[in-house]
Amino acid sequence: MTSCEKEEIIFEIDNLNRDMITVLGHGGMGIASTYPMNSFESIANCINLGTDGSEIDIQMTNDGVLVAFHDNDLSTKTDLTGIVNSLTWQQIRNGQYNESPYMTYAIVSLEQLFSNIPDVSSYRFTFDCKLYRETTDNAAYYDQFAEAIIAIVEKYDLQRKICIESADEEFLKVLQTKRSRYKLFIYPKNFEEGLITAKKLGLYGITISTNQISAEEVEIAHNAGLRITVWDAHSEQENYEAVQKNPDFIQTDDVKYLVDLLSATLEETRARNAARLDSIKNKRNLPFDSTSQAKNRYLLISFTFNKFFECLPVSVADGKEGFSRGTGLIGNWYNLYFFFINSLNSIEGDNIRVMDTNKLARW
Amino acid sequence: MNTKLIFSIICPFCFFYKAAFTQQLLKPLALNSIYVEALGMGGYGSINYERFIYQQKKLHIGVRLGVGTYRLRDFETNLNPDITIPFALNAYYGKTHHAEVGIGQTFTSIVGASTVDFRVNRQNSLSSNFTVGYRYQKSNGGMMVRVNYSPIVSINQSFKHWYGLSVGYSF
Repeated sequence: MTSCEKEEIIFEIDNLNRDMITVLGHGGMGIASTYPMNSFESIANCINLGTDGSEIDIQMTNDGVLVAFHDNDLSTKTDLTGIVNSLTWQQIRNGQYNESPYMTYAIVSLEQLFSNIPDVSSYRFTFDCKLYRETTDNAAYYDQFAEAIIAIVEKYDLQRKICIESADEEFLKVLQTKRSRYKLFIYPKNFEEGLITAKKLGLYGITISTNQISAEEVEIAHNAGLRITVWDAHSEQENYEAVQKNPDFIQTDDVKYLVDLLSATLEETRARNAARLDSIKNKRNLPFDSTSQAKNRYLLISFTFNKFFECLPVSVADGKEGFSRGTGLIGNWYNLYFFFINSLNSIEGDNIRVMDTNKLARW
Repeated sequence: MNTKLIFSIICPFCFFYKAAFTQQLLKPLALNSIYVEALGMGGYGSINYERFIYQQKKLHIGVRLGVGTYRLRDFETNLNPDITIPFALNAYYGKTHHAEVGIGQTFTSIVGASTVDFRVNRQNSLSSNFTVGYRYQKSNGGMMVRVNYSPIVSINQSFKHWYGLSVGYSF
């Protein structure tokens, strides 16, 4: 960790997330906000303060609608009673959070949430799946819940932006069977249990309280190819200490502080990655442009496969079109692109769009 | 004999104590108070001015006006503060340690998301408040402290248990 002239702290992040920490709000603005967790206001506020996105607690109504809500029983925080899964969306949609005096906030479905966040596919979200249910038919419930997630994720083109966490191994297996590429996290009782489960199931990572994991354990997880998401970062001190552990994601309860704390580090990392990209460009003498954030700028990307070189024209798009929509040969090449883009450490995979698909198909 | 002696010693003290106590009771409380209230009628907090408009022996009646806020910026981070304005009529009974009852209204202007299009939306409303509590204030002013139970009845008839703690200065 070093300091620059403005006395901003620059952390030396070393993780599996391109050496950057993804900052997510904990249910939006966190547990201490006057906005209720998981309300539209809380999540929108969190995004507007400059986070990468937000963690959202999700539950399913008995007619299959995903609702952003944390607690087991609605009566703890709203003017409704019962568990979400015992009611239909029609019964819940007029319910309101009534924790705070004078203020009422609506309970929102994920559909309402995502359809009202501008450019929603540019943000990252983590779904914390709360599987409170009335039914004893777990298989059917898991299946319906997983299908509901897939439907909303694909509708809003969030496949690459979503992480899904659950404490329930069986549910994760169901999701994994349906969508093997989803980034799934186990939410264990402790780190050791999480490590074993994540390795066994081949998950993307572990979600754990920052108080239950050390920097050494984060490194162990990284060495095993597992990402770490930490939560329980309430105070400034807890957020600061969480950053020092090198996790890949932090679900913070102090959004503004963490965004400010990591802003200098983020700029530094982006600059370093851009420099690394330039270095690769010069080495290969390819007409790359490292300012990959610019829209509609043509790039030439070359990559190796079977000792064969090819240049493909691509552009930096607005993120709404991506390889994940490709079919046939394009779909087959997606892995190669993504691998290469990752190795450049600069360009977001979502921002790359093939401009000449005929050429790709020929190749 | 012993009983008479004890009475003869204690009674004069009782008399003088009573006389002194009565004189103090007649002295009105400092008329004005400024205090900060945590929670209470203002929601999560408010700054208040209170003035006694009637005082008779141990009975004191005051009116209170305050202003509070939850946040200054809306969820789109634009300057757009929530506003709460509590107004109340309070009655106190006591000399230094007072029992308190009160009734009031709070005007609120809160910024949230519209339930129709989820854009920033300001909603104004009026709620009723009741107060039962305790107030510490010396007659000649100085520091004052209030602690009370102050439930809120919103315009949609919902009832919310609520509490308040005030610290301020009377003069």
